[in-house]
Amino acid sequence: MRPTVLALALIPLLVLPACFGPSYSRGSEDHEIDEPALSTRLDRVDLEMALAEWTFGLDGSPFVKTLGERKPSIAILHIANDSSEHIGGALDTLLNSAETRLVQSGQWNVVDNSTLSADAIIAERLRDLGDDVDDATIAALGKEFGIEYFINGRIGDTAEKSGDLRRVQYYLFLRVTEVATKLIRYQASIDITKQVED
Amino acid sequence: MPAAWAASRVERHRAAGSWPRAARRSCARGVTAIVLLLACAAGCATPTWEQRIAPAQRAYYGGDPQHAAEIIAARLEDEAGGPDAHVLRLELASALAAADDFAGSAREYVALDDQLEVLDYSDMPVFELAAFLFSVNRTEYGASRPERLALNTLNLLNFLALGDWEGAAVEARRLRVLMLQGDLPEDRRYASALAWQLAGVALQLAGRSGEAEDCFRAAGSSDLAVDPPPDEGTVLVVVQNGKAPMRVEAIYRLLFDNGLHRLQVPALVWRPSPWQRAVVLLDGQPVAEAPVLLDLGAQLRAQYDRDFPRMLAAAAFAAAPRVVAGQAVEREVSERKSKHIDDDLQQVLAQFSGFFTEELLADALPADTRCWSLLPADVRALRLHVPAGTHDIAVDLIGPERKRLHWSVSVQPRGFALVNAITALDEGWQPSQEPRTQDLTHQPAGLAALNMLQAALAVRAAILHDDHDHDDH
Repeated sequence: MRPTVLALALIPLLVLPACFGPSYSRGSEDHEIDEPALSTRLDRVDLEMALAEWTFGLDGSPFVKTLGERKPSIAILHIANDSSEHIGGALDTLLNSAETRLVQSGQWNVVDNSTLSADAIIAERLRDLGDDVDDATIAALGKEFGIEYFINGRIGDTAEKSGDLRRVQYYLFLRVTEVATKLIRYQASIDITKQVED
Repeated sequence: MPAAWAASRVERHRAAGSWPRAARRSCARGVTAIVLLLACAAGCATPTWEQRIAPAQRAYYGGDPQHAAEIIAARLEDEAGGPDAHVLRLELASALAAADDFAGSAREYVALDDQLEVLDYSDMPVFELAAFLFSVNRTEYGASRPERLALNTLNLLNFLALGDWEGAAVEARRLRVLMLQGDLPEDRRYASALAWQLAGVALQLAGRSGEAEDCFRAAGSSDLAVDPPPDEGTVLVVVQNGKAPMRVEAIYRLLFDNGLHRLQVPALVWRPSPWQRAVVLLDGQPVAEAPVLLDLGAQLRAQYDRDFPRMLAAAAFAAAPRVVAGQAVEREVSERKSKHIDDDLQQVLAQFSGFFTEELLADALPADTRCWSLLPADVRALRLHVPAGTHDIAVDLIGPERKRLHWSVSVQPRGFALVNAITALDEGWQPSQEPRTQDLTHQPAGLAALNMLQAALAVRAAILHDDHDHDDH
């Protein structure tokens, strides 16, 4: 009798740790876990919204309509981080997602950014690229990679802190430039605001 | 509920004289039992921060920051998510940077940046500060403002050491947001010339010249804003000198509630550096003395002096339960008449028991002395422009002792290199000296503390009165 009572008494002790352990969720089963903003950095929801807004604007622009059936070559060079947040990883993801959208649109021949980065000189130039792309880089893009258009951009912010509140207003600028003429063919600005209160 | 509040109810009932004698005696016995339990607990009381961090400090100041990082990382693993996790991560980031693991250090700082809050004592009510500094369960670590600014400043140096100008520029912008914080007085916004100037250097390297100029303007100096000719590069020599003053537990006495009572307050003690000057040499030739751009020790001292009366008042507020317990034990002992002891001796025994009770209870609850102990006392910096190529950079440390530190640095045309000297690694470790016990009753800080204590007790009495009325209804 006694061992049975002892065993019954021990069951809650065995179950107890399971009640207080970490709990895990899967995004495909619980879509709400992607929704809340957990920091003032950029998350997937921000990136998807920004990209959707930009591609919608690009696809509907007069510039794209003039391209007709032709599939010009294009590359995304760099999105510079001019913000007060360490979002380099998120910007790399944004660049890759934008490449994917361009490929899926069927309107472009996309030159992979990693192909450009494999060239040490171009990689060095792209690393410190801001708003302006110098003539030598533009010439190299056309000659060495046959690129007709390139996309570059930057993300800046206005960050403010007061007491326990920190607000970051992001401004993402992305532009399409024609290599032959160096003219900007399309440009858009997308606003994202994040706030955290302790 | 903070211990101070629990005891305040006991104190109020006692003052009103509403307890019957038997109940009072029973309570006193209960208190005696608790005191005995706490006496046992005192033997194994939580060690102070200086005791806990001493092994890592010994390794760090002995010149082995890698081992210091391992000690702290192991402790952090045991205490992940605990109240000391933030301050342990600050110490870990310092040790990693000193061990040239700049990427590891940057990871720690970036992760901590969003979580570490500034703890400002100046506008915190005394009873809240008492619960924060003297509670049985330590609260999550909050940094002082100089520590909070040091986080981004030192992380900016990490990114400069890694050659990641964009990362350094992000830290520069984060510093700027902190320094221009909306609720900060104008005179404290431009207090750190180092932070503004380093922000300028980072933004200049990242190609953001407009932002860089703004930072140099805010610094009131552009000593580090060197723009070299095309065939030259620059070397930024940063000397993190000495050890920042550290918090240790101090015992003070203050006269209140009809007795001179023991207060345990975090005291800030200097850790003198053997070197007062740092002269930079380029290829064997002295160039200039690196000026002090951030006197962290003075900033920490100024903040501590400003906060000291409030901390003292909070300590007195937190001591109230101990005072009540001491008085209860004293009364209990004095009322237990013994045939073998005369009245005078009985009284002495009672007073001794009361005093001993307070001392034991105080020992069981040490003050919160946590601080970022691996910070330097000051930071000096000098930026040199040098012809492209390899150069010998040295720093002569001058004081009662002399020492020369060497680096070989390779600089590209229009390139940049960072030399980061941490003198504390060569200073060795000595335990911090605890300040001597003092009676502060008639000193300005003690008088200010007593005024604050009176105000806090009046607020507490009013709150309890409201609660009592509410219960009656």
